[in-house]
Amino acid sequence: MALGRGRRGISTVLGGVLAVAIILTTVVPLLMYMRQVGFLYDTVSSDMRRADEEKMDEKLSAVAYLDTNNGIMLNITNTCDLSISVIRIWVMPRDGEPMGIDAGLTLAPRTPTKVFGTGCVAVKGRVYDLKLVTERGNIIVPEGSPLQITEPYTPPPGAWIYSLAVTIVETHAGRTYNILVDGSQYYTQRVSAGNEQAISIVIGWNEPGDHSIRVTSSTQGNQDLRVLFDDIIPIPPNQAIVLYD
Amino acid sequence: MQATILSATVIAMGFVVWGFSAGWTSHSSQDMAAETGAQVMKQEARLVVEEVHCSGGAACIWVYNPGKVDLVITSVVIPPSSVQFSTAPDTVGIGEGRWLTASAYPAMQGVSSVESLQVYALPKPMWNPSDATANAQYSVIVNYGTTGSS
Repeated sequence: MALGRGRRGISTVLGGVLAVAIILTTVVPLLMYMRQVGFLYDTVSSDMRRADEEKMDEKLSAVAYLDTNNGIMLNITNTCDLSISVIRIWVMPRDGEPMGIDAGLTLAPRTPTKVFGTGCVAVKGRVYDLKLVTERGNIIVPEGSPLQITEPYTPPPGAWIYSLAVTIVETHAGRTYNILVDGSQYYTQRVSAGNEQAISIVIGWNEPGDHSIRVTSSTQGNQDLRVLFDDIIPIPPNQAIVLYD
Repeated sequence: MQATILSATVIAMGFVVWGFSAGWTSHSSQDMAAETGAQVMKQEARLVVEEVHCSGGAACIWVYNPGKVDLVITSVVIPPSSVQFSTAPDTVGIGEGRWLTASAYPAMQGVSSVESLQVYALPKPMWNPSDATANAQYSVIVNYGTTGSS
């Protein structure tokens, strides 16, 4: 009787023990596993987000140019606080197949400019586009791209290289306006009708130098004249204006 | 006697419940591992389209993998073509760059100019050779051209 009374709670205890065992052996490991998986996902997300931020923070200054032998060269400078690896440089002639050159160039933060020779030689008449690819996946087009061989400019006879614009403002009808350059008559115009118009001419020289310009009107001399001069502007060779043939 | 039977019943039921719990836990953890693994790989996948031009009536596309998982290039879409999954796709390893094989992607053939394109890539462990469309929801899509390169 005493024994039977003593066994009365065994089932309850066993059930409790089994419930605890089930919780310990299945639910707890599952919860721990879920936490680990979540932690792994968070870690990877964080790593990749940081990688994306680093990609955005990458700053590279690149200048493309031709050396004296028409070799295609690049000056590359790392201007950010991250180390940058340039893995590939593309040289792409517009009328030919692009060439991907393995650069293998690592630039520590804020180090001096590195000169990189692509090993490609420019051919006259061809235009070359360039781009650099970094290990993080940025694509950078260097300054100076596209490149092409430019011939030294030889101005045609009489071509202006230096110019000066002279504008006579608020002209008066019936007057003749004269512009003398270096003492010689250079330009004459009579205003037949209409006041307060403007006459503008451009005077050009082949070489820089000092010149005198005198503007007069037929009735007033240099009185009552309003003249505007611009500065002497060197005209880029390829924009030179041919005054005389 | 009754107590013994009751105890045996409790133990038996306990083991049954335990078995079910263990099975459910195992199944759930496997599902969760697969889903999380897929999401992790998608997070690690990166692809850059570096260069595109046309030559010999086909598009030439150079891709680079700056990510942390090998990629399978499952499809190339050049308007007006639509998505068509390759059955023999190219693989681009981590840190690797390569020209895509035009014969593997119908959209790259018979093309004289390319203004924009899309490249679909899948982490290599998720690619199923017997079902090219499997796991397409985890694809990384890279736009090139009018929508820019990423």
